[in-house]
Amino acid sequence: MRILLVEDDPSLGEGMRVALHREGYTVDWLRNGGDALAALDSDAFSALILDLGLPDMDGLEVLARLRRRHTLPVVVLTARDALVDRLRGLDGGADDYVLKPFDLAELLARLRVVTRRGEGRRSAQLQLGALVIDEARHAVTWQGQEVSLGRREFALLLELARHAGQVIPRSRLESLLYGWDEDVESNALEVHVHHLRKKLDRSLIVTLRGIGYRLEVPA
Amino acid sequence: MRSIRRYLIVTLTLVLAVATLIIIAVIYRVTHHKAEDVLDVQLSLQGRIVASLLAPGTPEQEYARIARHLDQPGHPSRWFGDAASPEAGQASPQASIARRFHTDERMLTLGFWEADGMPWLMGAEWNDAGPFPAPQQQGYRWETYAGERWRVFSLILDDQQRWLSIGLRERFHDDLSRQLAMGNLLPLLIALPALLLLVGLVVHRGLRPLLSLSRQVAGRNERELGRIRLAVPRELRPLRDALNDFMARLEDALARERRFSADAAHELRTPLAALKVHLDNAMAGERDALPRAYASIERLQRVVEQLLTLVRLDQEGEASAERVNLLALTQTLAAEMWPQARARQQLLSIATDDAIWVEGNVTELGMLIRNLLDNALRYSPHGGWVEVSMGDNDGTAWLVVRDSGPGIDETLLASVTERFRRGSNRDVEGSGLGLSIALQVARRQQLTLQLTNASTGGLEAWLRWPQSAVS
Repeated sequence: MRILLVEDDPSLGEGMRVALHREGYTVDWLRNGGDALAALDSDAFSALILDLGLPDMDGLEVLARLRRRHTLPVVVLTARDALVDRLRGLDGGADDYVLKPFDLAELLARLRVVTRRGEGRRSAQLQLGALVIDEARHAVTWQGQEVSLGRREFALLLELARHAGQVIPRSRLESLLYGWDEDVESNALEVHVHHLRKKLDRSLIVTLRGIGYRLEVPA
Repeated sequence: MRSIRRYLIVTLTLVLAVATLIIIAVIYRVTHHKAEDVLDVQLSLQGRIVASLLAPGTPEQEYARIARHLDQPGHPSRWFGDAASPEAGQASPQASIARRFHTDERMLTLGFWEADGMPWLMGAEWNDAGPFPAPQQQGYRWETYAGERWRVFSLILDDQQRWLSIGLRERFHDDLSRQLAMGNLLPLLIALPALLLLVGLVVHRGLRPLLSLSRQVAGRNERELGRIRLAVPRELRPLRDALNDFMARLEDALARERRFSADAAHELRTPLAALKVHLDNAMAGERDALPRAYASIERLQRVVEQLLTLVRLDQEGEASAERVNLLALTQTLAAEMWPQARARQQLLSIATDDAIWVEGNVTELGMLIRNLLDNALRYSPHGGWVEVSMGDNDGTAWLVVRDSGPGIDETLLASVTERFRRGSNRDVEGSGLGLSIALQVARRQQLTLQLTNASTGGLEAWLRWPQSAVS
């Protein structure tokens, strides 16, 4: 999953980038509202973490503008704890808010909640026949057996599973998995798909040549 | 005046009462005077009628008959004509018609005297304590008889042999005047409660705008400080406008305080959040996380200390002043900050050699210049420079800190000294409190602090002393 992090504080931003990356997210970090709005228009993201105290414009303003065009889940990060501010944030289109200073575990849990709520899911476990994915524990079970997956492999499987049965264009998958920062080998995606097929089942992921991939819902 | 309502009611009531009393007194005086005139005319007329009935040559027995008619119960009249028997003058009971038809008949009586002043006939009352004094001349006079004053009209009869006096007690005048005055007082006394009620109503009505204004003010609180738009009488307008002004200033101050606490929360919570994330990362095994956590703590410490400094500056009284060598002070500070400059290979220099002396508090001046230097070093790039100059022109001392940073956006120049306001470059770690502290200290030391963008780029912070502070 690809997260857009909008935080103007260098230290906090760096710490969060590292933490989200460790959790298997692809993270793109921007420091002001204008850049964030431009990025949302040009790229695909799974969720947005938005700090309200931005140098160029108020975070609520960013929220209001992005809500005109986008429905992606938004977790607001704020130091403003007055009830009126929290209500304004939620009414302004935030899916959730986290008060600074926050526990990383709490932020990650809330992030998982808002993303799966976007898919109409309530449980942290994603079950597709014999395939069970536990988002919180980063654990995958296939036909009752726990399977050990790499960070990228897990991210790819989760992305496919979240839209099981639908074709996900290759470019979107690459964007969600790698963001802007990392150099991507041209065949990196194929390599990860290959590993997933080997560790799980060959027929699970269907390649649509030149278009993208699809996760076949297992019986 | 403890209560306007009480003051008005009491004062107006007293005024009403005093006015009533004055009116009564005037009525009494005027009536008394007028009654005297009218009664004088009556006395004269009655005297003339009596005199006209006694033609010259009236037999002396006729006077005896008159005396009998003048008798009143307990107050016999007396005819002095029967010289043979002094007692004979007293009318025989059978002949007397001593009867009173009206009590006020006691008030009026008459008497006759012979030309030599000897009493001839005394009517009722005038005979009780010896004969009434004889008249000396014709016309009106006041006479005291038996302890009472009488109004007397006298004239000589046609035969030139006898005097006639006709008199009216003064008490009759008094009674008449008093009864007339009381007759006027009564309606006033009846009207008085109604008048007082009216006064109460008028006072209540007059004070109502004050009550409405009070309610409006009472309805305000720290969240609801809108203007009072209530239409008020002219006398209350200055008060209403003053209240509105006051509330506007209060709202400004509260808004600044709210922004300050929101900003303070942000400046404290953000490094705390960063600290927590870095520690989480460190526990997850990230190698760079601990130094970052340490840097966050240092930043937090700096913000806390700056906040404490601001609070202290807000609370402390005036600092003592002494003669300060500005050059020596700046050199000491620059030496202290040298490591900070060298860490980023910045050149910190002082372009002045001559000592400049100013009046001021060395601790606060030190805090001020240190903040300016710190700010300049922070916003100057790696390998940049910061230069301090000072001088003393026309008895006015000045000090300027120039840096090689990006300067400040012209639109932000005015607001950058507000607490937590920072330039747009967020890569520089700072809380936005340094310049705010500098400005506050400058104000306490009666200096002007001015920020300008240098024509060559970079920021100039000018400190100027007032003329008198230079020594």
